[in-house]
Amino acid sequence: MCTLCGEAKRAFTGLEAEGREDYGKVKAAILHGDAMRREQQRQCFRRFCYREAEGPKGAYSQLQELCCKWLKPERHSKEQILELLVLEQFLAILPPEISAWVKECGLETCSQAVALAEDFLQKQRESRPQANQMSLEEEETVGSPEVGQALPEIEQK
Amino acid sequence: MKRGKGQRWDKLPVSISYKGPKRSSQLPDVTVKVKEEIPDEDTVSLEEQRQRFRTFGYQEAEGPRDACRQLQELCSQWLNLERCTKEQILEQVILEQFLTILPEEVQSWVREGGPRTCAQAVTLAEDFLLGLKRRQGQVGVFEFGGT
Repeated sequence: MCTLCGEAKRAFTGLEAEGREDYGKVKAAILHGDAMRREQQRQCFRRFCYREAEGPKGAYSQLQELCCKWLKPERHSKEQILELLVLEQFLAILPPEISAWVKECGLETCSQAVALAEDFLQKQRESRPQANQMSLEEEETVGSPEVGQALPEIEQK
Repeated sequence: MKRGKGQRWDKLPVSISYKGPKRSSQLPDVTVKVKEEIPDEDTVSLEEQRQRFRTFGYQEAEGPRDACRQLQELCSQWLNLERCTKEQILEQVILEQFLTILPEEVQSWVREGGPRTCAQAVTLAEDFLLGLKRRQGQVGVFEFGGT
């Protein structure tokens, strides 16, 4: 096992003993930690408020710093930066139910987000026939009213 | 971060109507240095492309995969992935966010100036605030000057 440091080390020590022996689990933990940190940095950038005392120049300077911490141009390619921007917007426009599900996993790429969203929708479709069958078998309305509602047709705005 | 139903993420730039490049004459004594008074087509289309990316709705697509694909296209068009450098791409992202967080009156003024870079936006914002201070100073003089 190579020497880990910083956040990677913290991710490693957060695993149970058994997990630490499993390279796959260690890698997943580190990547998950990376994704969480990136999300925090993104939020810092998007939530930064203009403060009058600092003025436009001060505000711009801070935004620049926060943006670089999030998008890391010294490390990422143009395509990777674009991926992060698209991922952000994609998660913002997803229906709330799908968005909540997808965001629970630490996402790295749009492909992961798309796969999770499709999984969610697939599970929804699979559970719907059961809900319909239940309502046919019983007189009163039962089952979650949310079933069948988390569909792409739901209005976003 | 909590997100309510139908709400966008905190301070994520949303669709902002771009009224065009006309200069406001509300502030006397303000010399605003801008490159051109009437923006060319490039500026308008850049803003349009940005808005298309930001206002694209999930319901316009055929599922998550298609939504993501269309977003990638729109983002790539806005940020001109093929021609722009990383620094230029970041510049546009920062510019967008900078405009979003400005106080309302400053924001309107700056947007009307059609800034293409953060430096231009900062200059416009500082000019606006300077004009405001001067106006407040003049008002003060008028209040105390007369008898």
